[in-house]
Amino acid sequence: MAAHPGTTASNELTPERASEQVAAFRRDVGRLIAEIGRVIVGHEDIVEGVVMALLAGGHILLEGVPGLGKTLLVRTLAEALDLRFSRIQFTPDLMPADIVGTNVITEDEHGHKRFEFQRGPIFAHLVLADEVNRATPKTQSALLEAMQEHSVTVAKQTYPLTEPFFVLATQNPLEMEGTYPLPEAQLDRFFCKLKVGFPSRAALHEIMDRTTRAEGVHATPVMSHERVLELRHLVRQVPVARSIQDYALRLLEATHPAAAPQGQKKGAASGVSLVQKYVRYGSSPRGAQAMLLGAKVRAVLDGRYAVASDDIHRVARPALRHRLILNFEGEAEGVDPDALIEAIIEATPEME
Amino acid sequence: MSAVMRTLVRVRRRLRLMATLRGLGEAALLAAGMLLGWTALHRLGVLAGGSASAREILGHRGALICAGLLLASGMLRRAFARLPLRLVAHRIDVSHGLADRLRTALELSATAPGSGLVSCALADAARAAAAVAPSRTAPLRWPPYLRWTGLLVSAAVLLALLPRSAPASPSRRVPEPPRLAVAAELLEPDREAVRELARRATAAGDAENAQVASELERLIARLERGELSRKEFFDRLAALEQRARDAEAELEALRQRLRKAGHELSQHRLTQKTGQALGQDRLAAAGQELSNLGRALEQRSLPLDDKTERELGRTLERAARETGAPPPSPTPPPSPPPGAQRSESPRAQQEKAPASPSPEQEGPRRLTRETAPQTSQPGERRADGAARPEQQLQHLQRNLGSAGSQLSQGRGGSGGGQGQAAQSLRQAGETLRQMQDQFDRAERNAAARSAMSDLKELARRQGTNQQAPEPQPGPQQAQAGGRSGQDPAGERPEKDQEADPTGSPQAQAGLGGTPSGQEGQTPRPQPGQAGQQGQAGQENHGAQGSGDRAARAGTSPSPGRAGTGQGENKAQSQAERLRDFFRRAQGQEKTGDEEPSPSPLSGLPAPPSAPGQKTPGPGGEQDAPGADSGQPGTPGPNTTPTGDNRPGDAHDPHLLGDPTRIAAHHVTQKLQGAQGSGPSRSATILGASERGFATTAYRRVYGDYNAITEEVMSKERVPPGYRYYIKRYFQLIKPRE
Repeated sequence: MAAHPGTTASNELTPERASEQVAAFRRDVGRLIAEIGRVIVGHEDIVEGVVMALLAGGHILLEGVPGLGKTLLVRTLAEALDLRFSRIQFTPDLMPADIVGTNVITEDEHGHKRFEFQRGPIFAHLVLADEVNRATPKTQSALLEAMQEHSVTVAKQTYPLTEPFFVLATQNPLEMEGTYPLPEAQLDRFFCKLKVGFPSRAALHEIMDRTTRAEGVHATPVMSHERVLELRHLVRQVPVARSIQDYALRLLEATHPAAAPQGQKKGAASGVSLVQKYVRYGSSPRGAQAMLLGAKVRAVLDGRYAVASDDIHRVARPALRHRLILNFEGEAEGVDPDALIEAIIEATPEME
Repeated sequence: MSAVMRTLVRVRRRLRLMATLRGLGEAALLAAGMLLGWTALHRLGVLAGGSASAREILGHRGALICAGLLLASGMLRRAFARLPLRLVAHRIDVSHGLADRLRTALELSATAPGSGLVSCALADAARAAAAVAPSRTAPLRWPPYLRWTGLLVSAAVLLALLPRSAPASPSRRVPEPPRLAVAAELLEPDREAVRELARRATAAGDAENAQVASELERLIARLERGELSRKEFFDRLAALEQRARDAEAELEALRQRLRKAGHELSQHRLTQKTGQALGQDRLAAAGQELSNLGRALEQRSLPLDDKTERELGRTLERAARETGAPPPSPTPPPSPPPGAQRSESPRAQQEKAPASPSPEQEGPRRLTRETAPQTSQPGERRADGAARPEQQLQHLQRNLGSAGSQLSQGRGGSGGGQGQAAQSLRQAGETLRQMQDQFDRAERNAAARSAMSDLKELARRQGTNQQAPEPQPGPQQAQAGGRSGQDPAGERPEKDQEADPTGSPQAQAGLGGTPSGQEGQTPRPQPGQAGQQGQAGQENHGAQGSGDRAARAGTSPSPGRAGTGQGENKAQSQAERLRDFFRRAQGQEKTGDEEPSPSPLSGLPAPPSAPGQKTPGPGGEQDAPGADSGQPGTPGPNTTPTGDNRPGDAHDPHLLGDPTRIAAHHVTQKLQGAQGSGPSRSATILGASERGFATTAYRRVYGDYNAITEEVMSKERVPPGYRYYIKRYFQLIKPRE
């Protein structure tokens, strides 16, 4: 991932200042999560994952059936962060210009006509791409280019997007008729993929209580976008030991069926055999980047100053699950990538 | 960082100590195993040989030195194993839940420049290291495998302390032979015969036959109690028979000698009556004549001139020689019973047997020695004081010879010589009268042998029944129950079967034995029911004498018994046929030694048919594959796969018109389904995609094919069995409405 412009934090951190920043990080993020929690019932892991991706500088793909609060989550996040929020409902007839904007002819006070770029909804801090798989690949690619480059090019003119730029795309796993599943290359551009599950009964009671009474609950801004950028900078300064990084890379290698990493436990049900049986292609290096960045966020959130292997464990599934490309057997047998990742983690020792 | 390093070093030292203890445990286990093996080899004598120095090396001291070396090497190997600090740090992190703080600090201090967060991480690690307890990372544990080591060492010590003993040959447990059990009712006639024999022998003072009778009675009692195996029983019986046979042979030799002597004596007019009596085996009369002759000589009432006296003397001498001469070629022994070498005399066995007799031959001989100790030495006095025939013959020879020599040497004229001759003749007469008892004993001997023969036959038949296979449930059990006679409540059911093994025509017609015949078909007869039926048959039809006597003697059976036997034979036949049917229904080939299948009209009860099966309707096309109609599939009970009636060849017997015949070579094949859960879902989908998916509706395909089959069946001559299968098949694959 490229370094983000607009970093305001100083590169030189004294231990005392670093300690303070870590404490402030935990306090601010805690407040953010609590503010979101005022509106969003349950889904703590989803909220944590979204915040983690936000602080790591990545984008999120949320997968879940309709009605589980995905859109509400994103909107609440935007409210809590005091960010510009835009929502794009992806439909099959949605065109790229509808997302990025287009040049329109305008007339000034002197009567001169000229083309003026009319910005699309992509020009926001927080973009919700609802049901992203319903748009055509052409439209999807327009969004995904903006996600990767943090800029939009229209008529040979490049327009940078304002930071922080954070995309949350949703897709429905059930209604596959008339959809255009995201290609693997575009899936790889998402920092992580979070699966929104059905809430528990207690959470449902709470949802009923909150949504059926007269007054609605809204989040209040608790963090500015500048503060978000500072936190992102701090996250990137978190050190990672070589052995921990090596562990993340070994996990990454283990997702590839062709490369059988040394030191892995072998067996009929081991990660190696399962990957060789069901995986066509493993994760790209972006997977390791996501794991390390996510682990850094986790480490700071836990009040530590360095990444641990447990942090890698916790972010491995959301960071890798959409990057494993299953082969025909895997698809036909309905193999869950999470189970594969779990087997890989189990088969890969922390110390080589 | 120094705090972290100090902690790491401290914990590493502790880890080395624990590794050393672990190595000690592993090495101790190895050493204990080595000690046990060493001791075992010593006990076996493998390490006992060689020179004194070699024995010293290979002795217990050498074993202890080796064990010590093993312990030391195991401990040292573990103690000085490579243990990098990052591994120690990792173990501390895991044991204390430090989230890789120490490991990260160790690596960051070595590589990364000290930025703010790195310094914080190092300081955090130092704080965590201060709270590290080495005992938590490397808790003190006893060396492993101590229990196994103790067991092995104990075993080695016990092995070393065990007293040396000769290596016992591995004893192979010989399975005890099955006991021969005969019902008391079957043995009762024989017991009565033996008692009668004993009574007669005791009354006649025949100690030998009395002893044989006593032995037989004991044998019967043990047989009744089931204490004897088949071999033991026959061995003991053979020994007793041998005793009786030896006694008979001895008497026969005696009879031959006496007849020859009688022939010589009949040459002289004075001893003519004696000789004739001897020729007719009337020993008492001959003895009386000799006594009379002696008395006449003593009283000088006989007008004897010298010539007559000498001729009488020579006649007596010749007779004495004949009595003392070795017996002429003895009469050929009675033909031994089939398969019984026991009938040969011990002498003949001794001549035939090799230097070292086999155990099978040794058994009867030993029993002969045990049961007949008195007969082991010729000429030995009997317990009751009676002389053996050989001794009596020697007495007779000596007396006759003495009298003959006195008279032939012309000393008879002297008073003393004639008196001595007369005394010898009287003694010879007395001896002959005593020998008459021996001849009377032969009759009792024959009775004893008859009883033994009966016993043998009974036991042989009983053993045959016992060797029969275990009765099967159902009709076979009824058959076995009626045949074996082992039912405790049953009363000699075997008599019913033995009465007419072949079955008389009347019995085969089932006239007299219908009820009992049905008894054989009963799946589970009540205990002893078949036997009671046999007894009832005897009573109703007046069976003569005891049933088993009549059966063994081969007398004509009564109708009741014949009927029962026929009924059992019928049940047996039906059971055989059912077995054959089920065997062939399971696809098993018929063995060559089996009986051919009976004809289809032999009255075989229909085998259990599957639900839904029907028998062919008269004159119409059958609706279901009949069991014996030769339909395709499993051959019927009356057809064999190798015969003419192959699957598909048979025809409905009620078919009107000419039967069809398909000119095809049928091959009966038995196909086995593939085991397992089959291909995976992905393989199924992949295979279907490679073959191509269906493009025509199933209903349409079915309609097309069904129309074709209907047309073929209406136009062509398809065998009825095939028609059924075709119709059924299309009925099953018909698409749902």
